[in-house]
Amino acid sequence: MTEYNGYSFFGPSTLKELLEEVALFDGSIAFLAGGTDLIIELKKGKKKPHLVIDVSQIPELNGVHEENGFLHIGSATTFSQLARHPLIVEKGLCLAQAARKIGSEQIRNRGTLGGNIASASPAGDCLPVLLVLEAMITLQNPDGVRRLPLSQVLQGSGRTCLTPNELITGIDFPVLDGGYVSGFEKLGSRTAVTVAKLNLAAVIKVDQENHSITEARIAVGALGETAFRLPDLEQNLVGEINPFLLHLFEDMLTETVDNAISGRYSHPYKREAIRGLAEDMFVNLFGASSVPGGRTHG
Amino acid sequence: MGEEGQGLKYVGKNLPIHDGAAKVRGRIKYTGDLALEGMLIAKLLFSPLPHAKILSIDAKAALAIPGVIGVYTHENTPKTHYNSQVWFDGQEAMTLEDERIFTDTVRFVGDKVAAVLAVDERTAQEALGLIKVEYEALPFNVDPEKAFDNVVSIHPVQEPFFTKEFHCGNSDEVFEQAEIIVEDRVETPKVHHAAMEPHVCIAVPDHNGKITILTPCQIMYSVRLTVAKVLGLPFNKVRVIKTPMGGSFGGKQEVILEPLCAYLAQSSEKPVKLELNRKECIISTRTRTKVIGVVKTAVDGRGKILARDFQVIADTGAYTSNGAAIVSAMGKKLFRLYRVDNQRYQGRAVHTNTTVAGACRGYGTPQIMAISELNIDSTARRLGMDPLEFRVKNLVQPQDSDLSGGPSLGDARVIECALEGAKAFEWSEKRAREPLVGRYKRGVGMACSTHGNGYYGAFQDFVTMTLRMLEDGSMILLSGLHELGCGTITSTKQIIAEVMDMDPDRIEMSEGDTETSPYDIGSQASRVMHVCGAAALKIAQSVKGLFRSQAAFIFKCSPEDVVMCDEMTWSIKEPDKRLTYGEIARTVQRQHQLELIITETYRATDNPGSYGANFVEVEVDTLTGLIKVLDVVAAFDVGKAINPDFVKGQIYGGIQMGVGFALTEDIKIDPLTGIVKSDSFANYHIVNAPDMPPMRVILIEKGENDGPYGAKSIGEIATCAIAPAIVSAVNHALGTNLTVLPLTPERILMGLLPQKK
Ligand SMILES: Cc1cc2nc3c(=O)[nH]c(=O)nc-3n(C[C@H](O)[C@H](O)[C@H](O)COP(=O)(O)OP(=O)(O)OC[C@H]3O[C@@H](n4cnc5c(N)ncnc54)[C@H](O)[C@@H]3O)c2cc1C
Repeated sequence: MTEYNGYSFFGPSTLKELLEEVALFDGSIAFLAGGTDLIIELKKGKKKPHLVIDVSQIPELNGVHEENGFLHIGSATTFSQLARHPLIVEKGLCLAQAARKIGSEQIRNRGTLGGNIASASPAGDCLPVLLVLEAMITLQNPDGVRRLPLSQVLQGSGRTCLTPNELITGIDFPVLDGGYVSGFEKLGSRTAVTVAKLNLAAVIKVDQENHSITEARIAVGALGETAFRLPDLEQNLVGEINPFLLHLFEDMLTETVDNAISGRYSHPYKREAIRGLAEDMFVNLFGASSVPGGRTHG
Repeated sequence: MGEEGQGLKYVGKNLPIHDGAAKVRGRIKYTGDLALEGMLIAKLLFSPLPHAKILSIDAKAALAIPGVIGVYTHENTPKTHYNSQVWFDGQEAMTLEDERIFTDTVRFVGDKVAAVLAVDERTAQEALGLIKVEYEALPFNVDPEKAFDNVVSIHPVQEPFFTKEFHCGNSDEVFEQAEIIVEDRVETPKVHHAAMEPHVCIAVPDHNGKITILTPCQIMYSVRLTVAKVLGLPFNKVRVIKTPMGGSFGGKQEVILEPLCAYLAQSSEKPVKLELNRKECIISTRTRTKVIGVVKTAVDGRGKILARDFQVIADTGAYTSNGAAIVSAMGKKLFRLYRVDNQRYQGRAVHTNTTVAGACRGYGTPQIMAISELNIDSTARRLGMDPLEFRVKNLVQPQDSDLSGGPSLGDARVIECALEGAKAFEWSEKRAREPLVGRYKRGVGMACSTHGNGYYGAFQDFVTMTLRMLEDGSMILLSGLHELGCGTITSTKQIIAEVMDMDPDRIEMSEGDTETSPYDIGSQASRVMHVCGAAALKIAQSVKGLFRSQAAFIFKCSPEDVVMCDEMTWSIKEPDKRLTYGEIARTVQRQHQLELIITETYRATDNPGSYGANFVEVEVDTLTGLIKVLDVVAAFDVGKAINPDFVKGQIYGGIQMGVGFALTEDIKIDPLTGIVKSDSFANYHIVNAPDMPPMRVILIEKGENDGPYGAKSIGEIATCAIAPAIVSAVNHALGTNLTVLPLTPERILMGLLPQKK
């Protein structure tokens, strides 16, 4: 173990090594994955751990594989990996899309899915996505393992249910088979390297024969302490696909904004702008012809 | 001004910047990289309140930490007042001196309260948190328009503290009779310079009471002046060395950290480094001046401008800084772009409890051009005229005079910029296009601008240089040049190389050092290429004259017969007998005991306008309010591009800053607390690569002025027309008349609400 800048540093190469150290260590611990959030907090003195443990070099925490109809993602898998991983692109496209829109190339090369969950930012881009994918999060400490839905892990802005010595080891969700389409859309104040002012994720099951939606899962972020699902809207989307669907989608999203942040400074803007995200999402899921006037945007 | 006979070898060529490769490889040591033996680190405590009296400062706990050398406050530092903008002795009489190293009354969130001096940064930082300050909060004001009420007293002066009027003709009379008058109110934000390198300096005391200051500055003699004043030292006991510049844009033009850093070094008798972080740079150094302008234009039905009137308020923030100078600078530009016989400008400067404003690329021109050009646009709209046609009808022409009494405009080719730019942009075709239906709207807009070339006509503008040829024929220029990363050194080498007919790499140039450099008024006022470049040309010609007369001795011919080419020289009469430049220099030393060296002072002799016209196409997302700049054509009358790639680099960078000025950049201040909300790059967005448009540059190079080979300035004017061009394109796309910058998505959607209803 090397002494470094007020805290000790430990870089295990197996999960077992990590858990042993956690069990023995007497003091506060911070897990370091990509460091794109943690390093800033350490520098600002917002976090003062006694020990920093690097989780990025542990093979068990890295990578994507499919097993029994589920995709399993190691918590230390980077956004760059997720963005182009064939399994994610094929069976969980909205996650790949979210990963592509995070930060910059450098941030995507370092930042991880586990870090995005543990940071629990209200604007975290993967959080609405994992909600619509109905992801389960696996947590582990020296005493054991638990597997919880993301909605239970997220407890508020920057708050999770993780105990001080617990780490996220993996994320899993049922694969989206051919009947599903999924997508992610984000609105920031510029094209790239921007915190979401709004983000939106959708998983939709389409019955092509009957031209109808049989299942809809929608979640939004940056409208409260944590990202959340929209059950009413989801129900309303189920049924035959008709020309008024986009309008309904937009109106219900505006209503969601009204309910979530009325009175806030950002409310007048977000209630309008979310309609743009709604259109983007329709183009993403159903193609340019699904919005009025098509898409003239270059 | 230039060498007779064309066919230039080095001028007009794209040589790479002299230290580019070293910078890319990380081999340049910036000031922040330097660590001197025994060097102490200073850290600053900033005011959390926008206006308050300091009742007490308790530093006991901080001083008790091992490694803390001292805590400095208003109680134990010089009380000398100064103005950070003053660059020559005597200038203080033209403005207010209201700053001190530390104040007993804080006037903005970010004002300097105390410094900890410690053996390392961590210790200093820790001690900083232990200083207890007791404040008595005072009423504060962050709104420049409210400053006129004089309810909150920031300094013992009435607001506005400065008023400047320029006029020509009789605008009142014309406005009374005019049928068409178009009025606009335009607001431009405070913005951050966003140089990559933060503010930093190092001060080193010696055993003889001399302080040496290492600082990436723009005006070393300004640093010397203020440091000497505050420390009570003679000028020759303050040595300022200009270190490699990691970006300034005017942000490091004023004297901000140096007096304190020098004092800490003097009092501790140790080298001291003082370096700010990004947040500290944003909230506590300098900003672009926020400006609010009300502008009226009277026109006749055929589109001739009859009169204009400008009422402009400049918010200089909590200390005066350049508040007076910028109000004058803005006004002057208005008399140099359009032919307006009757025009009045009244500018007023006020203090607010906000971050101090100062020099920022363009020195008020981007602001005043936004005000003027957006109103030109709405006037054209009112007339139902094409904004290009309306402008061309009214723009100045070569050799026009400045009706407010300033120097001649020179070979002012703004109409050529407008017409050439329009052609390349396909302005008429794009303007006539059917509007898009649906969510995305497209529009095109344009704007023009002018900016100066030095101080001629306003202040002394001269420079002294020493040029010498060494015994191997290589050369050294001694001067007070300040390379800011724009290519000053390489361009100056190109000029001297052209005159001497030798490889520019064989010329060395040190930068500013007040102990060894001759006087230079610094890298400001867009003067460097036009004035210092001309000085370099002149002195090279003088050394060439000396060289020729000496060579003539050796060749036994007349000086006119001496040919110089690629560091070889011969008499035209004996072309076979050739000597190198070095052989001449050596022979002259041996035989005549003479060095080929000349020191000369050059005084600026003109101050023509640089000109530009920018054309922009935008796409506006009417649902999210986001704006994409799709295309930019930027035409500039630069007289002559000494190094076209450098000129283009300035234009690309100027456009990047201007897109931010138009769309995203704003130092937002919470009116309830006075706190800067956009205090990091996470919430202060400059435009990054994915959002940059393609840019096409057109250079008009017709020379005809006293600059070297006819060169005029580009660095500042490059960012002066782009923002109004973008705003005008957005207004064209949406059918709006939005005039509050930046055009954030929120402002776009709010601007569209009336149309949606
Ligand atoms: C310039 C920049 C741009 C950004 N852009 C975006 C963006 O567009 N969208 C977005 O959502 N985020 C963005 N972020 C935030 C950040 O990149 C993400 O939140 C990222 O997912 C964090 O992952 P990391 O691996 O870097 O986490 P780290 O910084 O290593 O850790 C973050 C937190 O999670 C904890 N942690 C990490 N891994 C684990 C684990 N396995 N188990 C338990 N706790 C753990 C750490 O202790 C720490 O508290 C940006 C950040 C920067 C600096």
